[in-house]
Amino acid sequence: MSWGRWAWLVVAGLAVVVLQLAIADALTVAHVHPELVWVLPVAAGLVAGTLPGMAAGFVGGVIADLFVPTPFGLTAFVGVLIGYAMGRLGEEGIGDLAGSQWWVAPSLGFACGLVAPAIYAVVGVALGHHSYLSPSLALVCVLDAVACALLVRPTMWLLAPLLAEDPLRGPLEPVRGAM
Amino acid sequence: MAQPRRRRLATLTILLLAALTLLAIGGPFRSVASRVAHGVVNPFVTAVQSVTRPVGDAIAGTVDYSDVVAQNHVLSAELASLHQQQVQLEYEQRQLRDLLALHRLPYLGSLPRVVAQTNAQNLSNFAATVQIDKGSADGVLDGMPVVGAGGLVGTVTATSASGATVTLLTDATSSVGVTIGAGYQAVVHGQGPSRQLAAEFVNPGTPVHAGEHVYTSGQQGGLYPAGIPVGRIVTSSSGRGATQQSIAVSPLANLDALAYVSVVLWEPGT
Repeated sequence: MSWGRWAWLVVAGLAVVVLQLAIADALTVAHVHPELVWVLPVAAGLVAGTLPGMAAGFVGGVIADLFVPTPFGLTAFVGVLIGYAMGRLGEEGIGDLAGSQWWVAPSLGFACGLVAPAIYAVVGVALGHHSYLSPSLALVCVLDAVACALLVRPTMWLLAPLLAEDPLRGPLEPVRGAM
Repeated sequence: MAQPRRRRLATLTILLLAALTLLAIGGPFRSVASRVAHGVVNPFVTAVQSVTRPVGDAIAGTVDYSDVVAQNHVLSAELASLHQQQVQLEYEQRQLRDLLALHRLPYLGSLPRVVAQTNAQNLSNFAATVQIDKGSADGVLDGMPVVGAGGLVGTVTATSASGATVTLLTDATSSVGVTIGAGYQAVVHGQGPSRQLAAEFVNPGTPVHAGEHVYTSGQQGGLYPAGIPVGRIVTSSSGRGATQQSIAVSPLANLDALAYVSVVLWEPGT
């Protein structure tokens, strides 16, 4: 991956933090708010493949972890896993902007948003942060899933020109007309 | 096909190892990078909020109007009562200041403060933090205590020139040395966002009652000045054979609705 694309991912990661702090924080349900950090690896993976997906998860996670006193690197760890999984699907043309049905990417986003906080909490508990498995975790998962489902396609549109022509993914033409 | 697959797995392994390395030894890098990131992000957050906040406030004002009126009546009554108490407190504060000066302990009332507006709550649902609009340019430094809305709010944990992150009492990484009941020492720990605090190291026989207030002790390595109200005891119990009481403490400050806070310009250990 070129330095230019890494730089764009840093800009995207900072933009996600700005949107999180300025807007998403205010949208609370029972003291829980949607977390936008998972949108980045999902969108980058689906639109550009595994390498950009993992890179987006790592960069976005590291940037997000700079603003909270949670274990530094934990969001990046989960983001890399999410980016890899979505990247594998993206390389098969699943969830692609041009070739897939409109609902595929939001569905995958919903699933990732649902799973990512749960993985985060489990790994957090393994690191000794037992308060992460709280009763509000289910609500966190649902809100993150909804946010991810709603924002994944707009984020893919924004990222597509910035992450185009990855050596693993090839040009942004649909590989297959799958789904 | 095999080569891209190997490359994918190699990249996955490298990035996961990098994340694990950050988890293990990322602390020093974090403090420097955090300062830079705050400096970059804060102006943009303020700019976006200057557009979105009035819209959100207008919607919230319309929906919650009757609640606001009712709350205003309650607050007016409380204000009148507090004015009366203030006169009495001034005399007691003078006495307290003299006593603490005798013991060379810092007194909160005599310490300078910087009033800051909160401009964002938690970035993550697993942490309890707020962002404030005052930073190192205003004298705010890492480790300074933050008070507001009735008691201790938390501690400054990251600063940039124009803003700072305050880790709230409820965060799982927070712990505060407190005085409980008739001068007994304890440590209060955060249990996660919007959850009660837990007080530890109180012997089973110690008389502790629900409704009592707990205050910073000024000890615990001098992380906080003495006498800052922290919370109110909600429940206390000690199981059979327990070595300490199980005490739940509710923070006095309303940490879910912080608009303005005061950073006490006091460095730990001074």
